[in-house]
Amino acid sequence: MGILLGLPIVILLTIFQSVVVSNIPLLHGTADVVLLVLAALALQERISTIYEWAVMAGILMGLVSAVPWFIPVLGYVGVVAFARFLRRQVWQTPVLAMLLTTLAGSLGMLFMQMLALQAQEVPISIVESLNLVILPAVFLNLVLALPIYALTVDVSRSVVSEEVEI
Amino acid sequence: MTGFLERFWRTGVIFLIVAGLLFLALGGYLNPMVRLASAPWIATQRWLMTRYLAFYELVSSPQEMAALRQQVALLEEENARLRSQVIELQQELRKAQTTSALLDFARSRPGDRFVGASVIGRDPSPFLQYIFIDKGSDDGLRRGMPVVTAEGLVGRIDAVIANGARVQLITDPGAAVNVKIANSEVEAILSGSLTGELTLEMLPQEASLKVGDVVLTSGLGGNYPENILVGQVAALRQQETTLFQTALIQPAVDFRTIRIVLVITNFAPVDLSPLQPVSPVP
Repeated sequence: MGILLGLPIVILLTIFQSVVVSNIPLLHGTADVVLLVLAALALQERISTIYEWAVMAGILMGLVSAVPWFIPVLGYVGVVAFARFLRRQVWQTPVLAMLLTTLAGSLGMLFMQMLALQAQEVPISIVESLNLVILPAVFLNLVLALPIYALTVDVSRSVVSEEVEI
Repeated sequence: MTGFLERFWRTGVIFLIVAGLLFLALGGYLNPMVRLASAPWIATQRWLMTRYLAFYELVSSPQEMAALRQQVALLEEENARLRSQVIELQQELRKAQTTSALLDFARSRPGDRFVGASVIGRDPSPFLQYIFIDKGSDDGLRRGMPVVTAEGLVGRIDAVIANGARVQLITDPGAAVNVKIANSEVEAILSGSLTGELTLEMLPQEASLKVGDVVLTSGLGGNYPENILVGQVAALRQQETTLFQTALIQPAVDFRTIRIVLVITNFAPVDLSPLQPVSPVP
């Protein structure tokens, strides 16, 4: 799958995130479907342009959200890099890799957002952020990680054949 | 001759027997015998008729069942269509009620010009309280324009594209609104928070406030027009050791269910940044 196919998918995911997922909070945290899909795709090695997808998703999120634009870009690229790294280390247990990527990626992304907003002098308390936003959001991401991984594997299997190294 | 007599007697005997039977039947003497003889007949006929009717129903019922099933399917389809029509009409009614309330609000402020917009999304970041609306610079919207509903103040436009805009809600942790308490001289700064809670900061200790007091925009700072309803005082936090007291505000707008908003397009926010002191370069 190339970059051209990635763009509409990333746009649809961003719209879904903004319209649906952001309206279903747990306390004040919400899941990040874009992060989960990128992590799931990165763990499968089926899409060679996954880094480009991550950059596109980051730029789109940066444009849509009031968070500084480079935070989603760095966050999503970091998630993909971490997923690829785990794919090589624990390739026999992709579910574990998915959960680890989700945990680390969500924490990294949310802490980066919090620090960026604090740098912009937005009065956000770290304890409050941790209790009311970060932990609920990470929990939601972990709950959704496995269903999204399974769905992504099924869809990508039916669309893209796996690349085999000779 | 003998043959004639024999036939005569035979005919006569038969005639007598028939006449006797007729006589007995007319007299009702044969009824028990008739009943006894007819019982097996009737029973046989009833048995046969029952079986025939069962067979007839068996043969004819599938057609009736098919017709009934078709009728049920048609009715179910019509029921589903009517249900969806009811839901659509309810949605239209809600929309009309909201629009009517917004029109009333617009009529109550004849000096302002408004552009109505629908809410089409929320900021993906859980730290921020922003919404997206479906009107942009093509409709005359600019950065900084205040956004309201019939209930009260919503926020102000933070970013605009041609056909959409991002609105910072007053509940956002980065938002600050200059407000005043209705029917008093008390003025303060309303701040949002991570939890969407609204608080009045910098309230002097001597300011007399009570729960239920109405909070309006003061117009100071040039970011919002004056006298737009913000909410009501829900609780007060006073400590003798601090210079200021704080008040918790119950917003007039329910930000979770907000669907349609009005943007005040003839309000130009004042940019005070040139007046702010710049820190001297060492």
